[in-house]
Amino acid sequence: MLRLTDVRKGFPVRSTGEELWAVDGVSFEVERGEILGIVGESGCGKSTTAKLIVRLEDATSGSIHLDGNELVGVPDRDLGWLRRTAQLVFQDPYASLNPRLRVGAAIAEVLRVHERTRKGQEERDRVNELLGLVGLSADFAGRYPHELSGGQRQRVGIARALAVEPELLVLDEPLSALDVSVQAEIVNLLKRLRTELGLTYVFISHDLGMVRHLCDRIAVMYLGQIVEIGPWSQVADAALHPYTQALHTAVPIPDPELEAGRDARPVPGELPDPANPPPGCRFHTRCPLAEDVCRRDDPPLVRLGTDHDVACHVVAREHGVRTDGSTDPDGPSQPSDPSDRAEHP
Amino acid sequence: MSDIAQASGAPVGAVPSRRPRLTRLWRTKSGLAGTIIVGVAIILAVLAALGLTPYGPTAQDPTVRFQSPTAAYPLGTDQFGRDVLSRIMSGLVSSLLVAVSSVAIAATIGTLFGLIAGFFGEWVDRTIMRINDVFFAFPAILLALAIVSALGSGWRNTALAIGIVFIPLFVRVARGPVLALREVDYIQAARVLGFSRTRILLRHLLPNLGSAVIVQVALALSWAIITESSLSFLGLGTQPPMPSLGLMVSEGRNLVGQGAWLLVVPSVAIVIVVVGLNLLGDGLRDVLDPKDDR
Amino acid sequence: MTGEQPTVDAAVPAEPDPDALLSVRGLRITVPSGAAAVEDVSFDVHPGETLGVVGESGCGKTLTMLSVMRLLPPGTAIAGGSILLGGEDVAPMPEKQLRRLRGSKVAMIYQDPMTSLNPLMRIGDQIAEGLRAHGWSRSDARDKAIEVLGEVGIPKPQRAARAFPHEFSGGMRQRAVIACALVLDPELLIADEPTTALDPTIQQQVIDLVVQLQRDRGMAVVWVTHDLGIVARLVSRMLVMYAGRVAEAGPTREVFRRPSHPYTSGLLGALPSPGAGREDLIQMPGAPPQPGQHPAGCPFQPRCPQAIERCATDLPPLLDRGRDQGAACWVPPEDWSA
Repeated sequence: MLRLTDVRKGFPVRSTGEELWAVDGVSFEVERGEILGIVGESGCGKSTTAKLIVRLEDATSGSIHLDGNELVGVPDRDLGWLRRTAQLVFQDPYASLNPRLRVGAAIAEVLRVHERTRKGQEERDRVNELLGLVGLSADFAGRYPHELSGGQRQRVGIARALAVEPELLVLDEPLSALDVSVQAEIVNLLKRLRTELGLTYVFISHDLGMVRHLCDRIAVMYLGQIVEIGPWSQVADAALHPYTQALHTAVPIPDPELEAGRDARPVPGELPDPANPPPGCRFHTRCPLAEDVCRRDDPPLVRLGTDHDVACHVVAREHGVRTDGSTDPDGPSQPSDPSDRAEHP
Repeated sequence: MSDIAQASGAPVGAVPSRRPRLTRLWRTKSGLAGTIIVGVAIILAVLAALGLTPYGPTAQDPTVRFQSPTAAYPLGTDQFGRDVLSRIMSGLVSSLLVAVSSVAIAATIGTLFGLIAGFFGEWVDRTIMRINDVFFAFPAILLALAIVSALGSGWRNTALAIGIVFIPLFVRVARGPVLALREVDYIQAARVLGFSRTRILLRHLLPNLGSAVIVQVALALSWAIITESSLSFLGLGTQPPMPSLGLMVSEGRNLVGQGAWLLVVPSVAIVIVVVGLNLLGDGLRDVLDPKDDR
Repeated sequence: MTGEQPTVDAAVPAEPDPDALLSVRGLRITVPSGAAAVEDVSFDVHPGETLGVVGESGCGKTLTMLSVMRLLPPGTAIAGGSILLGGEDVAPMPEKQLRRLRGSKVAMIYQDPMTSLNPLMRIGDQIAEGLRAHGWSRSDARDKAIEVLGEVGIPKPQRAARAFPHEFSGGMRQRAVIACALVLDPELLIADEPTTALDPTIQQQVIDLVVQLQRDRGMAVVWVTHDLGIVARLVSRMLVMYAGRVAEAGPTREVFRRPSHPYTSGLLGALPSPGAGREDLIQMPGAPPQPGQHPAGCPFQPRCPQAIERCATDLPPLLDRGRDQGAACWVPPEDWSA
């Protein structure tokens, strides 16, 4: 349903005049009805990826196909179909609603713009139905955002996105501004909505626990690139890339007995400046496995398990897969060419 | 929906609603003083416009020339025996008329351009702002003088001239908040939801400019009155025998020997109205400060 | 306390613990409206101990710890109770005496490192400032500042001392804040969500650093956090707060294994558990009450799945549940319905 192919997005850096590649050669696919989770730390490009999919930003190069339609480089006025197909749910429920509009008016406006209902009773009924869908009673229509709690606002944000009857919801850190108990409510709601409405999600988060809980597949990003992508059980419970493993160790498990048995030594070093990423593998400056080849060559994503791709020279070799795309560990060694980033077939 | 009841819990935090803000204006000292002064000026002007002045503002009476203030003529009479109070009241009409129309022109056009510059950014913004800077570089009074000279005098042209001169002020005032708001999530959400640019501009951005523009309007009104008075003083604004505060100062200047009040009264009237509008502007800024407008 | 059962003992003795480094009893904090945001909070921190204070936003955990520093926001005031720090009650203490305690006896690090550093002052000067206030000479203070910067793992401390906060990354800033807090060797460090704004791998480094410093110096640390993972990893004893009161207190392992307050149980159920299945998370209906709008009886009662008649009228004190655990709940866990 959604396919990104070698998508790059650069932002000019004012001080140096160079380009900051926030997203640097990202490819993945999302099937209809699937939930893809994207995790990573700040500067990894996950939020930019979200913005590219809903075309708040236009990719510099590469292609993004949604339902077979290209959206890179297409002028805004020709994107009406996209607005009815893909919607975004924002991180901060306090900023994503216009403080001057009552909840009902905000949702009705979307219905009107997209001519989803006739004005009057039909519109009011639909607003109430949408509120009901996200677990809010009809009297919320008359309230202003400042009268709502964070969780209630996030529900309104979801209802407003659903008003266009989209097929794809891009959720950009929808939980991170909420308290633990409210997060649980919203996650349960998202699970229910997917089943009831047959939605597809791209779920952006820094919380591996929640991503593991909700998603069918997980992509891990580091400095603008995907370092590991695969089924949730693989990436969450049997991660292969050293960065994914570091991320797992970094996040404390809410269980003292499990924590007691863990080796929670942190990976050293700071996140490198995305405007000036290290050469070769971007994680090599902090990686416990780094070798010479990692400092020189950018590892491509190679398939190491069922639908499970990892971008790491060392891990690939341990699995008998070479990072230039062939699968013969005994063949003659060739330096892999970063410009020829062999994507999995 | 099993969780309707769960989600309809108590709203978080008692956020003060935005309605009672204007009544708060009268709790600030400057807001209260400004409102009273401007209110009195408006009442006097309205009375004059309805013809309810003590005497006809242009009615001459040779028997009472150069009368100093008395019970019959509280502010005295001039060289033609006209009542100064009546003339001040009528003068307020033309001063306020010019000030209000010029600021209306400036606020409408300026806000619109500021909105466009801030929202579209890039070359649109650069072009508008460069033109704006050029306008800003001229002293206001010189620019107004030049425009009036080109268009001819009379209150309509004066208003138009002052309006054009003040446009850049409103461009600046409107553009700032738009630049900040453009990146706010609910404006981004409006884009993702497929709202047209016009809708985003008029329905989602414009209402946020209200407080900043209102404060600027109060201040611009006071500058407009000064500018109008200056132009009339120079003979390019309101034309005699129609009274205007600036014109009265100009005439009074030549008659200081015969009656000092002829210079003092219109000058003080200008100062009072200008101070009143400034106080009102300060008061409005205190209660409408866009910074705490979330 | 209303209707205390004679058969169960209060979990925290009424008298302050003379052996504790910090002993808080019956603390009550009011907000500008006059309503109590913190009420009847009692707990102890022993030398070298790690205590976790957990709760959702607005539960009073930060106010409680700010009152220990006597740094409550304007209009918010200690309205009752005692805060014994090393045997001295800080609640009525004059400002001058407090300044002597802050930094040397107790220090605090906050969530946002940028707001706890002066953007216009060099890092080294900011650290030295605390020492100068406690009578150190200029050059001694400078040397000590550089030494502490090295101790918190900032590379090239000589040069870092001359840097301004904006030249540091978020993680390095938090290290600098820790250096500021620890330069006077406090016996108690209050860490108020110091890692919430940081990325996981950086958060882990900062946590690791605090743990290491705690071990080296033998100081006590109070972690104020909403993150039950951090509590599970770091903390030996924990305090769960709800609506300004202590809902549950006890050794971390016991509380996680056998929560004795339905709120604690709800919080734990709201988290996805790693390595397990992906069943729906447990939802707690409703939202916590605002200060001044507390229901009669137990503040959690309107949301509580275990509530009995008594909960609507009588406020439960912190009752002893054995194994050093206490919960402010009338219904013991063995009587809970599933």
